[in-house]
Amino acid sequence: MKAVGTKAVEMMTEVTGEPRVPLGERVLMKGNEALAEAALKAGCRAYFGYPITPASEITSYMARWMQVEGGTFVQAESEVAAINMVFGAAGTGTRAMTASSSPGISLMSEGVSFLAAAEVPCLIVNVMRVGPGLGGIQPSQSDYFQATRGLGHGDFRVIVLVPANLQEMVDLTFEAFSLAEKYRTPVLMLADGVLGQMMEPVTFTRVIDPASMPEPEWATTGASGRPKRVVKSLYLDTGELEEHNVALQQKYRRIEQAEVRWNTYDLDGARILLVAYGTSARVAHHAMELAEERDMPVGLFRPITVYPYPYDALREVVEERGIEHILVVELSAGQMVEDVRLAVEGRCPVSFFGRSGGTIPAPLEVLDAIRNVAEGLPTARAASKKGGAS
Amino acid sequence: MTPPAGPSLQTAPIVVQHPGSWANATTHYCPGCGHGLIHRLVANALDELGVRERTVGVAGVGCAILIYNYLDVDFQEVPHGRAPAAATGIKRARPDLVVFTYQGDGDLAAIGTAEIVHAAARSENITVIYVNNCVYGMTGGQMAPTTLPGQRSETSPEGRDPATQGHPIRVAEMLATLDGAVYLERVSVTHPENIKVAYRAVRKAFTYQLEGKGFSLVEFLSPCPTNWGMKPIDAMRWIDETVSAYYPLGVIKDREPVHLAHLVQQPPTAFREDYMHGFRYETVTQATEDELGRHTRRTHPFGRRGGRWVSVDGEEYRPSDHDDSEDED
Ligand SMILES: Cc1ncc(C[n+]2csc(CCOP(=O)(O)OP(=O)(O)O)c2C)c(N)n1
Ligand code: SF4
Ligand SMILES: [Mg+2]
Repeated sequence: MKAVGTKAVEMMTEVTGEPRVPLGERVLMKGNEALAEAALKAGCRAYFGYPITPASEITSYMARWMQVEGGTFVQAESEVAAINMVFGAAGTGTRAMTASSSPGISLMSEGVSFLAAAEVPCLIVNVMRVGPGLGGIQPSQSDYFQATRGLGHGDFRVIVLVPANLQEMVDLTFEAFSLAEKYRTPVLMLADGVLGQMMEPVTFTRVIDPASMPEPEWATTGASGRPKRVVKSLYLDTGELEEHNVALQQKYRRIEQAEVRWNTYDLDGARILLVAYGTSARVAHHAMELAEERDMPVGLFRPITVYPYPYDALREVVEERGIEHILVVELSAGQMVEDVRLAVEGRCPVSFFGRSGGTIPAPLEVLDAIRNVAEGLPTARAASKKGGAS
Repeated sequence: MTPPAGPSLQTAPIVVQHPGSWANATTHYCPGCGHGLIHRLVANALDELGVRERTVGVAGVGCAILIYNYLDVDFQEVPHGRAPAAATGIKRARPDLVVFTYQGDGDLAAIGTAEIVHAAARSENITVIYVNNCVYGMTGGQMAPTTLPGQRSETSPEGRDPATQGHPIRVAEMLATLDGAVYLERVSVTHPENIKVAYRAVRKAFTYQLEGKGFSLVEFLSPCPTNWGMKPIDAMRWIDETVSAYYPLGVIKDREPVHLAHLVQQPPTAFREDYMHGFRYETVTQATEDELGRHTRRTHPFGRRGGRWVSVDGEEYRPSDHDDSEDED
């Protein structure tokens, strides 16, 4: 298997003239670069970004390769500018994206609200780092509330995809652009510092030629032989504005009907259900295996979309499998746990285990939490343990 | 001051018929507002250059946000101040399109300062129509970065005091220091001769874009009679006499800087009372203030408590035919 880093990729392409990352071959890539490569292969032809750890490699990769692919790359003066450059480019019907990490995403919120309101499709990537404030550059999942609720002002949602490994991140990148265009909405890839920085084997199976995609019937491309088009979010007439908002909400209901994604693991005989997404799902999966080795009846439920959230699916698992206790594992002080509680509506107790300083919990720590649950004990990290409280 | 003689509206070539880029809608602008006139010049230029069908405009947030109702071209309406970023996205994704932004002075020179500076620095091949009316029009007359020293506004009720509220920004001159800014001209629309010059500037800015020369910006000194508390004719007069003294008209840069000398001649930091071309600020006693009454305080654009503006030969500045009673409500 080839290891494909930026340098190696460059040599491969420039020296051998072979495609940068060949189709159908298992290659070892860094998460951020795999995501960028996937976006290029998915026909993204406009990238705008501002450097920030741990997302910077996406911007660097695009700087190196976007123009080679015939697209456009601009290092923006800020994330505020970046998201509005995305607005402009995507408004012409071009597949466009930006990537950043938590503080940068906060700066984008006004723009995201405008994109959602004007129904302009695009991909936004958040390689989450730990907050609040400057926080740190370590991985985190503490932007869950922001991603699923507060990505900007106004009544809107964006589709939020939460991959747990690099192959899934690659596949979801293709998916993200199709979903964005299908529903004319921004899509957020919610990754974290682990997924961005780790290396894993990935296989690319397809390439989308942007020239093969028809021009959307709303895009601003010059009013030639048709009435002018306006991409906008201002409605001065309150009746018209409410109609617009109702239409947006109907779209969100359609998304909630059709686009919920999740995965389950080892539900047979499970009494305790772990619920986790992204990197924490990897840890939880390992902890689940450790628990099973110790004959503990543990399963795992992993959302792949967190908006729309798999409320019904989770409730059904709890009901059909007779789950007695849920343990939510997150790299945060407890955010998704609120959605889990909404899903199970008191059918079983919901406990939480999380780390919020940028530390990835060891599977054994999660195993401890599972044991505590099994013994009917509280799961919160005791202040005495390693000196940190959750 | 009477405007210099120029061709009459009837003989000026640019106002004979509705341009095809004009949507023929009735604008929502106040009487005497500059926006409608400036839209018209843009529409004319797009027509004359034959690019209407491949133009995308970007509407900044301000009184002119509804420009897309008045021009018959594709438009994007973007967050306050971000038009140059969106225009960058459009032009980069589709270099074949003709892209322009239409932005007010609050939009461009306050909240959007970073975006305009960097679009110019990158020499984005776009055209910026920058409408400087020395005030936030849309939100009701608050101080803008361009509000003149001493000028009253909702948020500088005693007149802008540079000591606490800073100095105005001369956008065209500021951008002229950037290698990426290719063509910068300041114009006004106060009378037919100026309108002709302004039209030529707009056409040139678009021509440069078509020739791939890079970033160009036309700064309009534009009247906002409503928030200046003036009759339209006084607003035009105020631009001619006062605003264009602070913001000199002319080509500021045409690939080479050509009009920066005035910056060197003026001390850049101190509050200079003779900024107001031909008028200076004179402190007066309480008694005189009572005598001058509200006239100096409210209706005079530069009126400040305890002072008045007098011309070099001692004559008090008063908008000639301003009716005080209109300001009561
Ligand atoms: C983020 C944000 N802040 C504030 C506003 C409110 N706002 C709308 S227009 C405007 C000022 C516009 O002034 P200017 O750009 O000078 O345009 P004018 O109306 O004078 O033509 C402001 C502050 C806004 N729309 N968005
Ligand atoms: S408030 Fe001023 S800028 Fe706005 S429409 Fe009225 S005159 Fe024009
Ligand atoms: Mg203004």
